Amino acid sequence: MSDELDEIQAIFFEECTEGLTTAEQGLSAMQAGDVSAETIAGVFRAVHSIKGGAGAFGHADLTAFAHKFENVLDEVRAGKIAPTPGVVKVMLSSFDVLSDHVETAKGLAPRPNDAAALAALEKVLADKGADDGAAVPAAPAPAPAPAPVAAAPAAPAEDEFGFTPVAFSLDDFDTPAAPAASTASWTIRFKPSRAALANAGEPLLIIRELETLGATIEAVDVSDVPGLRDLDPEDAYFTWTLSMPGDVPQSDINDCFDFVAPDSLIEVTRNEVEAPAPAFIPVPVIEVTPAPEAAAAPEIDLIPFVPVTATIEDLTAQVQQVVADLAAAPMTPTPAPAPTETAAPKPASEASQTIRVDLSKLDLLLNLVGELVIRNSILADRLSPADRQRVELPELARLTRQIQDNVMSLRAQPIKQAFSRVPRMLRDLSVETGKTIELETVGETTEVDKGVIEKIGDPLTHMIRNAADHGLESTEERIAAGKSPAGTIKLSAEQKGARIFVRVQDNGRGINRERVKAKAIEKGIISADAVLSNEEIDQLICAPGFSTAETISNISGRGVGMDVVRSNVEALGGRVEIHSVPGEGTTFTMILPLTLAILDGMIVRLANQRFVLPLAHVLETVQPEAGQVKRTSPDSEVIDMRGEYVPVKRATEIFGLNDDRKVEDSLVVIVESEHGKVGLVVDTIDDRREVVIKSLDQNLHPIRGLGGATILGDGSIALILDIEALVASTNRYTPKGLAA
Amino acid sequence: MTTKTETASDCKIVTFTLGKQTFGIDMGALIEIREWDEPTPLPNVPTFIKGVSNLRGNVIPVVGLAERLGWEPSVLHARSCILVVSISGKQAGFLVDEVNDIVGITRGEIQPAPEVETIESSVIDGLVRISTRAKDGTRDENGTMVLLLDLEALSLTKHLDMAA
Amino acid sequence: MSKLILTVDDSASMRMLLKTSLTAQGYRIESANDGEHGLERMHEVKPDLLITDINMPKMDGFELIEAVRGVPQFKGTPILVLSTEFSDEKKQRARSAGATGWITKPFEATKLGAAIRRVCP
Repeated sequence: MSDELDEIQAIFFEECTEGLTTAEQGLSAMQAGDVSAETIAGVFRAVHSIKGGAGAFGHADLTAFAHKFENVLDEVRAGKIAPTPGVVKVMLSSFDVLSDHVETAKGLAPRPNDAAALAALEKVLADKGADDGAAVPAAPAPAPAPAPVAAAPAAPAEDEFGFTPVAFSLDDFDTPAAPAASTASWTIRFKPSRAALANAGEPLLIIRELETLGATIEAVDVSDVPGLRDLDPEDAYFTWTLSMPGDVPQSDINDCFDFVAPDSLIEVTRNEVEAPAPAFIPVPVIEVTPAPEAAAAPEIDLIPFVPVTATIEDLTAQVQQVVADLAAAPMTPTPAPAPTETAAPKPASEASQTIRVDLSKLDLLLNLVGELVIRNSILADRLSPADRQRVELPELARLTRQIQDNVMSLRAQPIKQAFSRVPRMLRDLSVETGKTIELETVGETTEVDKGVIEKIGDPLTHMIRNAADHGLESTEERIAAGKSPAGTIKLSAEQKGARIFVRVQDNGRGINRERVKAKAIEKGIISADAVLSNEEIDQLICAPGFSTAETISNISGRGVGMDVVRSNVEALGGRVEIHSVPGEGTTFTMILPLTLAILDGMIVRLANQRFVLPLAHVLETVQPEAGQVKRTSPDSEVIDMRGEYVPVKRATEIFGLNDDRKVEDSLVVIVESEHGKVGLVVDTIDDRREVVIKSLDQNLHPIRGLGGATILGDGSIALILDIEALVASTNRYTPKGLAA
Repeated sequence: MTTKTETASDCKIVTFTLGKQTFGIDMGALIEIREWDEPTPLPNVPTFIKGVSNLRGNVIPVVGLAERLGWEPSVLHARSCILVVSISGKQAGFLVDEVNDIVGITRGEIQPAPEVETIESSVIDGLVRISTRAKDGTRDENGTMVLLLDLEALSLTKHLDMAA
Repeated sequence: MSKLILTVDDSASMRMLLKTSLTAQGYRIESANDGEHGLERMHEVKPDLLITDINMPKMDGFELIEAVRGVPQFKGTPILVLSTEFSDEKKQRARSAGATGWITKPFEATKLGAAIRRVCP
């Protein structure tokens, strides 16, 4: 049970992360003036779910804070508190505290000090948002008042059942003045309502439950039953009177009526021996659900949380076993290894169940599955054609392929995870620098290898800090320069071939090259007479020990600078590019390898060697007719594509491969990148499939013209062409020849 | 190997030949020894990089070690094999003519490499003389001089400029 | 045959908690992750009891209850609301929509079991 709960709790934490992301997006939208009912409801739901799960897992502090936060959100949702900039600001800082509470619940951080946030929330509730808090100079224009959300809540007095609930506390009854003597008893009168019946509340079940507590039916009053003609089978007419021994706690009796109150008639009267039944003293029993305080208390007996690390090793051992079996006894069908306990400890087959796994174990698994695929095809080759057709082999191949596909998809994650901490960072930076900073995010759903996501966090933080601190001007400077007072930082991600481009773009002052150069000379990074291009000067920012700020600021000057970004990114096999326009801003681009990304590829043969073309770049394939490919100079050709002349590249030119095939016997694949189109002459097209990109950087270094390599089903390696480089290199590519 | 050598040895090396010369690398760096299998050629790389091979799902470069050391390229034959090594976490396969033995040596036996022995003396960690088994099982008391390679210095990423 | 319960909650951890604790009490569990999905699953599995959350995307618990009650076949199916909400106003809305009972999260497995037996013997 504890394992199951641990796993479920791990899922809860994943949900918290998602919930926090949703809440933050919603709050950011609210800050930007979007106070639609949907946006508010989304934030409410996210916080509400966190509270619900936190309660179930006994995180009292998190529950309590989420509860207070939810109260404010609920009032905003109901239109009782206007989401003014001041209120949204309180909610944003509450969000930050909520995030901290989640970290605490995970056991990753000490308990945050939430006193200030709680007080601010309390104040919002008390003021009903009337007081817009301290002036928020940089806040956007006041948001319009929200439209009332959903149905107006019915006040209790307008209860359509005509029943007015009366506040009632169980405490008044739980401690009887005198210990219940066995001679004391309860008298219970119960008349279910029509509504309870309509809602499938079966009164007999309640009677039965009371009976199990020891009640006996004293009387059934049927005087309300009308004549047959007027009888409505869906209405309630009976009134039961029961007697219950006095030692049964009143709360147990109340529990039985939990669902039928308040619209039913329920009277519970205590009869003491000394004072025998003085007729009925009706006590309306209406509320037995826990009070808010009780809702925050953990009700499930929990075992302390221990992070789940799956024992994938056992799984890999199984894969290895399968590999070994296949290799050792290729002709003997081997029964699948029986699942062991450690391999399948999952309590329930839930669709969105998650588990955290060590990356290195995933890698190992992926490699082993790759081996399995290869053994599979070797086995197929060794069998006679008749045996090959038998159902087991195609089935085995299909299953293996499915395992491979699944394992491949395990490492890819949306880059959103790396971006998620940026909004909060910018809020803090905004306070620290006094600058108003707007954030724009593009391409958050770009899927990147999990390892890359984890490693770009620090470089990204530095780039953002750098942009906020050095890139953007102060509000005064911006106004003086005729720019909008608020600076913008645009964070974007996109995949191009086997690379991922992560950009941090500011619309600030741009790089002051004079000053950068002077500083570099002063620091001895370059000689005083060095002649540098603009790009080279910009790159100096990433030189070790370089800092342009006049004073070491608290923000980006913590003894490390952009040189750390560069070294981190290079350690990932990537590089940093800087593009700056004076007065307009600076863009830092991290170009990273997608070490294990999956690519939709076209497998082609060039001079009988297999290559992968990223399908995203392929426009069309043509079989050239005689004369369609024309030579425009001794070493350049074009293909006539319905009047458009597209440069043609041959394998010989690209890789110095031996290619004497006539173009009419070949196929021309038209590929496109942002630099234009190229027709690539290939021998044949073998296949179209998803391939795992294996970075060449991992064991070698990046090679121009290649986006990586992949391992095909037969174990051989196919190189992935970098279309970007291929197109860009048209007319200036210098073939170096292949290593022989 | 004599008992004396064995007890005194504090590190093991794998010895192999390139042409007539015997080399050694630290046993700890060796991952496995494979048969020669034609690697997939790569464009735009120095000629000593023969291409890439699939090692259990890893794409590893295969290096013609003789060429890398500035000698005549190895001629492939039946005993040609690939030493798969790990250098600072990166894996590479080295094409060698023949793998000879695993030998225990002591650090004290290693002599500094003479400057003139190779084009790039920095790739040689030092020299060590080992006794070798003759075909009749007796020992050649003169032993063989083994050039110990500094794998770090052979790291392929040091040749980015050459490759670009 | 043990009773079949359909649980509708947008939180996977909550669905699993329910499934774990109710399976241990001998119930068969089906689940759905929002109101719309819940309504579909109602028709597919025709459970003996529906347990639903209130705050869910697409179709919330109130709407789901109303929709289920609108199907003659499910008129007599007990519906329990399981929510962290506890205001009278919300409970009244649930009742008006057709909920049989209300359980406040976080729940205690034994009390949940007792509540279920109260509406679904």
